[in-house]
Amino acid sequence: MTVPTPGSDARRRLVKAAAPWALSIALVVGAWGLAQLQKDEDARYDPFVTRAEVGEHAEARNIAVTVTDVHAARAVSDGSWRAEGTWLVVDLDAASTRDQSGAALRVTDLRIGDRTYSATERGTSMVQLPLVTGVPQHGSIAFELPEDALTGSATLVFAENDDYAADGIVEVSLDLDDMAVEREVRLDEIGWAE
Amino acid sequence: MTERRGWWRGNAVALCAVAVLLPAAIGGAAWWEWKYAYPDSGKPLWAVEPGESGTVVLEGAEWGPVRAQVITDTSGLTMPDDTTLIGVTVQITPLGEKGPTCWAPRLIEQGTGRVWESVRGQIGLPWDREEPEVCVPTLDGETAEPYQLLLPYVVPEDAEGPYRLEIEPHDAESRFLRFSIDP
Repeated sequence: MTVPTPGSDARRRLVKAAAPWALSIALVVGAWGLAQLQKDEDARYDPFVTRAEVGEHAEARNIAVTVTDVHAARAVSDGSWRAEGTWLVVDLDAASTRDQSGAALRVTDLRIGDRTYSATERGTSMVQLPLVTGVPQHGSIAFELPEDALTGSATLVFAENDDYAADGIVEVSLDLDDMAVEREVRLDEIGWAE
Repeated sequence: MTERRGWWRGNAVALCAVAVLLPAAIGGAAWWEWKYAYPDSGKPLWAVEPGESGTVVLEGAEWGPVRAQVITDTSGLTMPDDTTLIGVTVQITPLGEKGPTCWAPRLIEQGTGRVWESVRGQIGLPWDREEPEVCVPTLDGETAEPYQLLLPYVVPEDAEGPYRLEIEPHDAESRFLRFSIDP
């Protein structure tokens, strides 16, 4: 039989009192750490982005895009329609990769800073063009911009669905600073890509 | 113990009702949801395939036979490089006064699941009422007659048969036609 010493008794009481505090602090710190690791609540809506440069082929879930050329111009035309202003004209190849049913080039946006511009619906462009699976078509899209907007870096966004939350999209980065501004640019005629 | 048995016996009717109504409620709700998700929405779920004759009856019409071939003579057409033109015809014989209507027939590569729709305009074939790409609706005062769908599909060179041709008639309560073809 062992006789408890007064010292060990006091230590046991101290441990008993401190343990819940230590556990609580550990849990709070753990929860804080988890909150730091956790993604934003809206992260589940983020699209899956395939990034590419001009001239580079990029594929996302059901869309494949290659931007072949980019022009800045003071006027744009398609042969019959013509408009002046500050224009960014993008020539591209586009196809669907899996399913042609209802597939179209629905989102053609340009992001400059925190502003987003949609491609013009005027003229004959690839906006809303139905896509063919595995067989790219070529054409152009055009963005009408405020006069001083052609500076800095920009991003082209291509998606097959208007609502591309959690969908695969293609983004192409552009540098607008070094672009020569042409007098007039003609939209490429829509046809099969070369 | 006696008291407990007394409770079960006292509530026997209610317990029987729960035993019947609870599964009925769950089953009923599930059935309703399922009916809404499938036959009512028309989402394709049940494939209807042709028999030996190559034809099948659905939605008041006899569908088939389906013929498919690789078209090598593409002169006069605007064909993209490195692609194959597959021509598919579908015989449709309406059995009643009104012919069926349908969504655009789809060509599906069995190996990969890639899907194509016919592309008349893109290869430079203008629309022609004698060569329809979707089911021809019967107008008021007309009687449906047999006709043929003519479907040109442009597929990349790496696409390989066998393929499936799927046609979804409207209002077919989730049933759709599936033909196997290997041009």
